[in-house]
Amino acid sequence: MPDHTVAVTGAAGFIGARISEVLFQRDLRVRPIVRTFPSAARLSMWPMEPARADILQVSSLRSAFEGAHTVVHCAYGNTLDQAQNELITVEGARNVIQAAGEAGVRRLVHMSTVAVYGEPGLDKVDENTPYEQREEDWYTRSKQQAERLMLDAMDSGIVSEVVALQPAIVYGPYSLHWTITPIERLQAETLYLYDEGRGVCNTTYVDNVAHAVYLACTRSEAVGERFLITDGEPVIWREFYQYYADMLGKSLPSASVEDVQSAEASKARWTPLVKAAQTAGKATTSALSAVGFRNAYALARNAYRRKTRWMQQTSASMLDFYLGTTRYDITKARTVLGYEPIVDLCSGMNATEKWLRFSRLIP
Amino acid sequence: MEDQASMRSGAQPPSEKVYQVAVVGCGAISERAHLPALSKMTSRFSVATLVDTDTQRTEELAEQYAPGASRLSNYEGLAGRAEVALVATPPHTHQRIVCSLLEQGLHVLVEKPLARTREECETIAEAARASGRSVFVGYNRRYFLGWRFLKVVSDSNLAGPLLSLDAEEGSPFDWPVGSAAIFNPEIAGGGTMLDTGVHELDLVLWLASEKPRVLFYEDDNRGGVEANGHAILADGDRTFRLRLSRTHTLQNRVVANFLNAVITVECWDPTAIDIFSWDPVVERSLKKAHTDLRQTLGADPTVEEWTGVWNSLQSGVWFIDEAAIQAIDLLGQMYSMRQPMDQPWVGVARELEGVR
Repeated sequence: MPDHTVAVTGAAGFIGARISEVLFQRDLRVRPIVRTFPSAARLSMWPMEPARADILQVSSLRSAFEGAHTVVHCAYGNTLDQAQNELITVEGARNVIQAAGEAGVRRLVHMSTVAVYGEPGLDKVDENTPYEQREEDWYTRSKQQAERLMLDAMDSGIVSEVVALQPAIVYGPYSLHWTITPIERLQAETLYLYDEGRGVCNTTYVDNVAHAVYLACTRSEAVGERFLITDGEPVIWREFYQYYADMLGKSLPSASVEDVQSAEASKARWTPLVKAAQTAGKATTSALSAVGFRNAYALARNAYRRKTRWMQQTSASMLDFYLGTTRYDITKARTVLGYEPIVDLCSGMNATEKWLRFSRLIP
Repeated sequence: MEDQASMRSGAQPPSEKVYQVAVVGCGAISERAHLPALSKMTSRFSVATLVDTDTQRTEELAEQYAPGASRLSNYEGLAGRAEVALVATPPHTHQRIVCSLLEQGLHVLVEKPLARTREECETIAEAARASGRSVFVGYNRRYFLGWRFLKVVSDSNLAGPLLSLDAEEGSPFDWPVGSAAIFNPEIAGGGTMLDTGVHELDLVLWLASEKPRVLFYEDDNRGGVEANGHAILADGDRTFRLRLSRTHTLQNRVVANFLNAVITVECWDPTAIDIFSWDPVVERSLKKAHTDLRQTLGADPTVEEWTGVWNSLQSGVWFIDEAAIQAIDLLGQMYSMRQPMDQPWVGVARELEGVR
């Protein structure tokens, strides 16, 4: 077992924090790197000393990386500002590379994503599948750039060793996108399955990602490679979401593709009229409120909005995503990295449910 | 009988004693609570000195709250500059700083917790006795209307005896700390139970008729400091359950079950109280007591806290906050009985063991 320090950027985030916990439990010295100290509270139960750094300042990263053998780079743009997100994701990766080089870091493990392949419409994607150009999608675009920067950094000799990991749908304790949000939407009755939820969902329990990171940190075979990481057994969206529905005793309603497309078309057709009506509606609402109609109007409006908003927010690319049949092939991770998923969907959901109850997110 | 209005600041005759105050530690609690409160009490306190190693902070706060105050970067030369010191520094510094200030002849109001361990508290108490100066501890919730109402109801037996108390306080940690010291077990000495749970322990000690015993304690500490903790204490037949978190949102309220009523108070809203009794006579009595108390207690708990300091200093009677020492003693007992919290999502999968 190599006796080296691993610095983890984005360690306050859902994946970065869990990676820090798992690497620490597996006897690596871990230095969680956070933007602000309060955000490190989740990790405070461990005897790990967090360091503070700004991903947009090379000097602060260099100080945080000092003495580290490996940097696991998990930080990315996750704000409401798209331009800022791209800056953090792309320039942040560039800064991490420069700071790692200057600090003498030997290995960079980059947390990439299956999103770099876009939605190619293939039944199987592996590491040889070319990136899909998706200029309209900032996340895909910037994660593609970041991954390229990382792998090029090894070719150009800035950092000796680089490994990129590409996990799919990462869920588990503290996951906003694939655990907390589905739970909240089920509770608010705004979660619908597309086309009975028959699309393929490439689940990845967060501990499987952390396990892959451990291997990427410690196995020489990993160097210079990128690896797709999933739970290994794709399921359909209905099966994935059914776990959450069962936790809450809720049903999983479905919407047909035609419904969604119709709502999309309807949105385009009616938006100008709706905006005009909203302007007029303010005056009307004021008048109605005076005679007691306001609450009834608001109730009816909210019920309608709840039903339609989800469909109207569904873009064509989201439909592709949820209806897709793509399976991400982890053969390379298995054969080269020695990766084998250690937690299956049932066990992962079991742990997730216990965390959800502990955290009071479900009763 | 003392005029109720005279309990509050700002209503004092100009001839009253004005104490010179040194603020040691210019972090968030000084900025958010103490300096605004002291600036409302200029007939009783005058901020003479601001002390912090971060000179930019002393300048910022002096400019905002005490333009005439001197700015220092250490606390060792305060004799003659101030009569009372506020110590609002991290808990691991309390023993050293408070003892120094007492030796310099200052009275001290120190932010909770008094110190990290019973031994550190005793050292401070000994220094206070030797110097003849008083030590107050900043438990400003003692001046929350809700928390004080529980004390009034308990003492007056208006709702019958207190049977049990259930307190929960938690949210994702966002206090603007400037270093990771608060998460370092050697420095901090504890986690959320020491930092926040002492408020609830102080309430328990306030309501208990005898020193409570610890029945059960669990937390999630795995070599660092606890981010989540859960304790059950007992005083005779009644139980006190405390649950604290730095990772997720809890109810953030205290529910006190009396024989004839349930009273709920909020942790963060000084005035939020819910009174329920199945006996209309009891409910009316409680609501009247609540109204009476509201008229005697000022709206700003920190102003009330400093008013208590002023009154105590004026009395000339030496004071040490014994309850604050007992709270740390209880906490030490809790830590010594610690059981690991059941969090199956935290450990690594057994399959990993074979991969090492």
